Amino acid sequence: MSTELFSEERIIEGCREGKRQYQEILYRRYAQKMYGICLSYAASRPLAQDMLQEAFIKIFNNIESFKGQGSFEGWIRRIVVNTSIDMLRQKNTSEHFISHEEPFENKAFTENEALPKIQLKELLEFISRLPEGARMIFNLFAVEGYTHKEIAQELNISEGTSKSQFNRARHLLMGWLEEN
Amino acid sequence: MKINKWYKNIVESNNESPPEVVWEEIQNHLDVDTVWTRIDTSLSNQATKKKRIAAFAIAATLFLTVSTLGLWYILSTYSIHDTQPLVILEPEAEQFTDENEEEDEIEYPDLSSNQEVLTAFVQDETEYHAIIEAQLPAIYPEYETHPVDSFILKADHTPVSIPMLLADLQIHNETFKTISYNPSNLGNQEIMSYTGDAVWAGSIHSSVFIGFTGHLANTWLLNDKTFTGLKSDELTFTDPSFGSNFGIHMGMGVTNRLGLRGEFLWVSRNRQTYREYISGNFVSNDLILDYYMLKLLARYNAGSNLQPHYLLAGAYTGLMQQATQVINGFSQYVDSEYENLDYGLILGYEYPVPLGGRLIFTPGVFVKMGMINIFSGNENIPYYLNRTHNASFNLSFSISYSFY
Repeated sequence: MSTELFSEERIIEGCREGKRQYQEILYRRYAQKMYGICLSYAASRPLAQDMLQEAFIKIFNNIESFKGQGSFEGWIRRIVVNTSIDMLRQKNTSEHFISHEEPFENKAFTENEALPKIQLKELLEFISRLPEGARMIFNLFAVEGYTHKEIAQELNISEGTSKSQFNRARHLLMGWLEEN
Repeated sequence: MKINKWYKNIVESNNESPPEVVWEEIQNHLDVDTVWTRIDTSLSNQATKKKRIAAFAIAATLFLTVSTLGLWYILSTYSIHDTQPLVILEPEAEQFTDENEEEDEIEYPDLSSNQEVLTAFVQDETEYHAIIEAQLPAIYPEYETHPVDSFILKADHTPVSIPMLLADLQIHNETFKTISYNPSNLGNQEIMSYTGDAVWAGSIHSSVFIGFTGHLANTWLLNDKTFTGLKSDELTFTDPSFGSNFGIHMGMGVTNRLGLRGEFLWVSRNRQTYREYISGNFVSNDLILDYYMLKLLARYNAGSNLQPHYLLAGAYTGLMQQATQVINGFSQYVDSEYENLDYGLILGYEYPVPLGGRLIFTPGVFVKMGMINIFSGNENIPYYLNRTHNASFNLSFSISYSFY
């Protein structure tokens, strides 16, 4: 038997009752996918593991607030992303988290070249070299599908900064991929 | 945006799992949050444990009662309707027939001389009421010259001599007094409708016997996990588990009603099977405890001498051979997690059925309940948080040879 044999409703109900076995099923079902998201924000395994841990604790402690409207995975994902962002913010309270420097010049860039088939662990090498702010914005835009307006509201920055940081991240990534 | 999709695909198709320590840390955090809830639950579990054990005791009593009555009824029916015709006794060269109107009492004052004085036939379809009187040993003075048995003689073509009859009835020659026939009074006397097997069975109680015994047992490891697994809304499922026992047994009658019975089982298996959630998968988890077992039981004959029904009570002690845990086919020894010694109580019921000659077949039902906590703890769980008792419902089948 695998964890898939349990319906989502049953798992949620078990978690609401605080039953450890159901919590474990929920964790096992989503941990790998959410770990990938955490890695993309953290760019390091220890920090990603902290993010994942913190996110799941929030999930279990707040599962009562999931009212069954919308996707349960989407709800989990939102908590994971928000937790990751919060942790990055806390980590950088004394640093200049997102540079409000001049918008990054959006250089003409060809994306016609075939992108390499790599896995996340190989991509991590590039992600880790991105500035944290640019990495976060790139993730929110490329992975979560946020608009620059939404990113600006979420991170309390201007839309222009969001666009600039996104372009910066994309430019750097493309450059490193071309080099390799 | 080609790179966006490419990047998203890589992130979402992550096949790297977080290390187990993440889940352990989450659990630790949740444990801290719910520590009081857990203490509270644990306390109420302790309170309900007594109720559960009481429920088990009631179930065991019901099992014994129902099984005993069922077996009693089935075997009693069998013995009345499906037994062999009894011996035929008739003085040599003299035929008893239905025409004999008067009581014929035949005395055999010197049976120790082994004279085969009764080796004749009774005609077909003839029944006689026979009374055996015996001079019982001095320890039963109240039974002096008491009719120890009476039975119906049915027609048969098998001649039976007095020594053979005495051997079958297990009556010493020196205690034998008379055999009397009274065909004419058949029907006027309150006699039991038993036959040869039953007469022989009446002597089982006083016999010394030894034989082999085997059990089919529904076994339980009684602990919180087992009880929890019986609830339908839990993720740990307790499955019915069966084990088998094999060994030798022996026994003897001590008084007219009481006797002793001992068993040594060199194969005695107690097991409990669970289906549970371990590290992300549902797996079968089979705990197998193998013991050498010694039982000593007192038996009380609740039936007649001719058709005994034994109620048994006693104690057992088990010496661990090995403890094995099989998780999804992968087995490992867990001897260190279980006590080497177990002991407890046994209640049961048996019904001996003579097979002919000196062989006795004895089916029975038993309930066994361990009195001590057999879990000695491991690196994760101390012994007092997982108190475990052996218990089982047994169907037993024994073949014995009766010496005396």
